[in-house]
Amino acid sequence: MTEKKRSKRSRDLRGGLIGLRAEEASADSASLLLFSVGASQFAVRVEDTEGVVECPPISPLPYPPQRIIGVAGVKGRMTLVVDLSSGSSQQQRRRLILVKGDAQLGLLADRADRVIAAKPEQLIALDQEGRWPARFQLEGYGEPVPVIDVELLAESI
Amino acid sequence: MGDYLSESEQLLEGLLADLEALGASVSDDNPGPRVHLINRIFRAAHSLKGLLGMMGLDEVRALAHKFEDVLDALRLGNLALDREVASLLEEAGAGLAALVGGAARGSASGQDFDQFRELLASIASRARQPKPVARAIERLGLSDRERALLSKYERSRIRANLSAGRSFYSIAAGFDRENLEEQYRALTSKLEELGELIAVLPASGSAPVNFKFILAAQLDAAQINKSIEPMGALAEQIFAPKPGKQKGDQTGLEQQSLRPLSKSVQVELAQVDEISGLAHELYIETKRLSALADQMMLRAGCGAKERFELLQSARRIERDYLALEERLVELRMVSLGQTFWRAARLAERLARELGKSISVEMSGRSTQLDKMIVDRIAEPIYHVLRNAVDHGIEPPDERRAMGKPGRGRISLEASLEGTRAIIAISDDGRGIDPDQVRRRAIQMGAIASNQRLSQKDTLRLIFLPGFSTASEVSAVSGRGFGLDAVERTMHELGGEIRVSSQKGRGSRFELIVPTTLLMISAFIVRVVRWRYAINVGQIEELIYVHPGEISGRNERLSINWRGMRIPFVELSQLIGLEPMIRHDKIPTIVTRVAERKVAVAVERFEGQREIIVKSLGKLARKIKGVVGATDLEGGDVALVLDIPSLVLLKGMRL
Repeated sequence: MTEKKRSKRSRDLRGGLIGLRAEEASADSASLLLFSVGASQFAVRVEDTEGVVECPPISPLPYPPQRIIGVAGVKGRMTLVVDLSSGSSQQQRRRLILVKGDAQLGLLADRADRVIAAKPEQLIALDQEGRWPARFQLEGYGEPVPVIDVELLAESI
Repeated sequence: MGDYLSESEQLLEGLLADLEALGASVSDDNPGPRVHLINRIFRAAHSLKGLLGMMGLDEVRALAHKFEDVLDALRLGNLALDREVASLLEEAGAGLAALVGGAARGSASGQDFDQFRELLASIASRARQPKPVARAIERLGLSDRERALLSKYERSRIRANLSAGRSFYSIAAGFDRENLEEQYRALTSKLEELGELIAVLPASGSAPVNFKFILAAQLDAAQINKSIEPMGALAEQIFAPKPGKQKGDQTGLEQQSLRPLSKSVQVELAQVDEISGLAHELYIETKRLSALADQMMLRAGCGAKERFELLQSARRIERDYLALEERLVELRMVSLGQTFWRAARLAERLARELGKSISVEMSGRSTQLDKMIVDRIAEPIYHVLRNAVDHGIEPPDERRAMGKPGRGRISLEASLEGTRAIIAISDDGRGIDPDQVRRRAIQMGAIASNQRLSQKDTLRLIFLPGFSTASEVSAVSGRGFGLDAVERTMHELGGEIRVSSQKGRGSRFELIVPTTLLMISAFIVRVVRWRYAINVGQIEELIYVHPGEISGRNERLSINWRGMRIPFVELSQLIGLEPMIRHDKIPTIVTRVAERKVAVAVERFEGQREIIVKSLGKLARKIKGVVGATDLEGGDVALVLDIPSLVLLKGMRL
């Protein structure tokens, strides 16, 4: 897919973010989508996402790679559903955050909270041995929030 | 890089096909070169060189330049084209293709480069010094200035056309600046139809832009002028061959356009997939719309006629959609030609290194498969072929002592059987020794020493992981691709591998794959809460089993099928779901796994249908037992299962 076409599709699917409160982003801030999985909160760069949708039924995989719980069909694309939780019940998970890229990943979430504009000083680099596929964590919004790096996530699977 | 590599692959495919055609054109009756083919090959090599530079593959680019030099010598007439040179050129083309692929993957070795250099040097050493052409050009009456402007190639073409006994014409034409390009193209196209356009020289005249075209043709001036006068051009004969000296097409000159003949455009596989996905979405929504419309019509009390028209319209859309999908599937199809070429060249090179002599026969190269399948099947083909050369074919002396010709024979065949392709690699070598295989399997602990196996089952032991003798390891060391990996790849593609062999006579491996993975006939089954799709190519038979017919315990269950006991397992067990509910009649699929039959029970059969298999993305290779997924009605997704892989992953004893 060419970059032009991909960004057009992103704009279309980003309708899924309608209804979320969004902070105004300035030129040097990063737009992050905050979402909750169980008791944990995570963030992902908005530019790495293609939208948030109601999670369709997930078909379980026979020998799933780590963190993948199954496959869901979203807008004609087969999405590998990633569960960032530590094994708690997935029944309540109602949202799927579609991630850009050839890995066709979707992040399972209880809810998408809001979109914020994070300043550079709020993003603290994590060491490589962190628990989550994250290079940074967001500070200044209560507990530190891991910012999921989608490339790292795909590599870790 | 991806775009450049894709374009390089296309260029190489055309180049290899043209080299083959060039080789085929060499005969005792027609020893001369085929001008248009050589030019096309030369242009392809030149374009490839440019792409290699873009990709930063400088070492390969330098070798492509040397290859281009060899081709230049050929087109200038300094390298005579005979069968041996044609064969070496084909080998060089395949070698260049292999180097490009290897360099792009980072797997090309110094030895690969050295071997290619030696090959090119061997061809170049056959080139002779160019003959002086000054005298020939003088016959055309061109001015000193015009002669100085002629390139080496143009001079060689003048000499070639003079030898062929053709007439030469000078065509004066003037153009206005506003329509220069259009008028120029129109005239040169017409001239190329009439003969060979040798050169375009600047000229003086009354128009704003003037040229002098030098044309070699067998037509007379009147015929040429009839075609070009409406364009404002005029031909004057500047050389006529002596009567009786015209040799027709003796040198193989063809009056064809030198312009590229390709009418194709490049399409990314991902674009084809995207279009296919969108088409399918459209189809699903149309079905929903038509169902809603039908309901509304019922409520509104519409008559049967209107409802019938709606139904007809929906059916037409369904037919058009299926036709669209078939066309999209066809877009993904490529021939096995390039793969076979590379494999054959690889085999010949390996044979030379091992001091063996082989001939590789190929058939079915034009067989078309989905590009993804062709890409995946290349490595298994190379591996089986390497084994054939390394372990199958004997050294020449040994062969002669056995009464065989000193030169071994390997054949690569491709054929279609319905929706499956069979790629067979066979040799007339020493064959597989079943006793040696059996000894090795016992040594590995794979079978008991007193276990009896049929010849067929014994041969299948060679696909066990880690099954290799010391000599096999030496041949394939560093390759990282054993026969077990070959079998696994076949299963992942929804296919299988078969082997047959006769000690002392040779072996035959058949790689059987579906022709496409995109649109397949599948059987839908239900297990617990989920539906799954199974390629009908993997289904031997659908049966119903009575619980009383199942014997054995725990994971060693079996049933009687057509007079033989075959293993029986529930699909829910294979895919890690909770146990199924069993009814009086258990729907069961009999499938093939490694040439054995296995019965796989499900909860419900839901019928056969054509499905679009959608990729699971770039992480698909990490997902075992599943080849893709498909959308079903209602927004459900059915995983497309690879039953043989699942059985093997479960570690079932067959």
